Amino acid sequence: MRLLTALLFLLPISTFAAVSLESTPYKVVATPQEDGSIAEEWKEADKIAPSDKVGYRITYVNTGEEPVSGVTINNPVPESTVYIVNSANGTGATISYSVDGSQFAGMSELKVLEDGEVRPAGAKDIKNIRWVLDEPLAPSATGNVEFQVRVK
Amino acid sequence: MKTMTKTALIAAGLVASSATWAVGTDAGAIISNTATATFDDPTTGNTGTTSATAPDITVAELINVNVTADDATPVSTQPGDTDQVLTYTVTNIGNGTEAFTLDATNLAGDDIDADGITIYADTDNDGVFNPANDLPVTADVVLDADEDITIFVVGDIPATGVTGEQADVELTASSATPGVAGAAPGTLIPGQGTNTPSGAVVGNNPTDSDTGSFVIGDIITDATVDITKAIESRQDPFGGTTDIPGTVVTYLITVTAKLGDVNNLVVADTIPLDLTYVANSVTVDSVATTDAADADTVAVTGADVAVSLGTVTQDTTIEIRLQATIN
Repeated sequence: MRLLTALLFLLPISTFAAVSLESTPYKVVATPQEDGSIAEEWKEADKIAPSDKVGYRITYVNTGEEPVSGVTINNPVPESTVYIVNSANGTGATISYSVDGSQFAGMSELKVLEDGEVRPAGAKDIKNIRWVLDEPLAPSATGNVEFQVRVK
Repeated sequence: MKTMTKTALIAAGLVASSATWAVGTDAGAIISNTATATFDDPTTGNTGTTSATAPDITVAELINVNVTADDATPVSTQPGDTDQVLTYTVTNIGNGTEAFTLDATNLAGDDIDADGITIYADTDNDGVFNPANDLPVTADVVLDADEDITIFVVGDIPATGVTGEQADVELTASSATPGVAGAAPGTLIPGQGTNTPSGAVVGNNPTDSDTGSFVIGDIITDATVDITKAIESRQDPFGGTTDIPGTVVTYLITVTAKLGDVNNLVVADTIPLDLTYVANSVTVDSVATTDAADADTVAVTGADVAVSLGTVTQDTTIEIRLQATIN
């Protein structure tokens, strides 16, 4: 019994985490549709070059046996990329942004100080995206959030 | 939340990074992305944390080039002029080191063609064509991302050209990577590219060209005369070269006809007051003359020396020497 207790402590802490994440990159390609319109399709992330769009889809799941509240997902905008305005979405999640990684607000409420002047934040100023789930996450419940960036 | 106004300071570096847009993220750069979730852990009552890292993306080489003709207006030339120069700038606007093939051609539809077109690099990097230092381009030009090179296209203007006629010359730079020629933008060229395992991607401008022009300007028909005067030697009474009374000064006057033949050319020189002309000292191309107004070309009256050279053909130089003594 004493041995079993010791073993339990040695197991990685993530085993006990009630929420698990998975993040997958896609290449976002404007593709002509049969009806003549053009829609963005999320394709395998290969041959990605400057000015290409990359979409990240983050899947969350409650791996525990109890509802989990306060689920907040934070994703810094990757190096060498620029966030594409209004591309973040997530069903049942409130989205906010940050230009400094610590304070979060809606896009229109963010301001930056540049060359001594305060101006509204633009796409290139966004450093973090945050999703806060509006409702507790039930056991085995899953969902995803996503956003797009453009490779500089 | 709605009433919140957030102000954050942004370091200058973030703004400066936009300068890399022209070329883009370096080929081979790794884009990594990690999402983190926090939540109220129902078992411990504490805040739980978990994260997920997406598979890394290696940025592919994007092949793009720009060619710009640098002469703001057509380069003015004369019929028969040789080694006339058009200047271009070739810039690698892709994101990786790339080799480019250069080609210069006379365009159709203009008035005349430049002859003997040769492409030179600005080897000495001074922005000016200098045949002694700038080398002909005989191989592909390799440029790093964002690097540019000044290129000179040098040609000869036909002697038959007339005023206003124009010769348009196009310089084209094309990616030398196999498979790029003729490929549509976005095409992946497997096994090629700088630092990119997946291959190189053809950009919107894997080849680019621009046109520079020669124009035959107003044809210069008026001949001119270049004339210079210098002291060639001095001899003082003691065998030295000081300027003292008694020193004999030898002047050399050089006359050249330019841009055509010159008729009835007379060179006149007046000896300064504090010098005295040495009688019969004028020589024309080292041939002695007399001061009298006679068959030879020279006539001297007091301090005024006149040399009547008559017709002097284009680019002929005549040397006139005369002597005077310091008073």
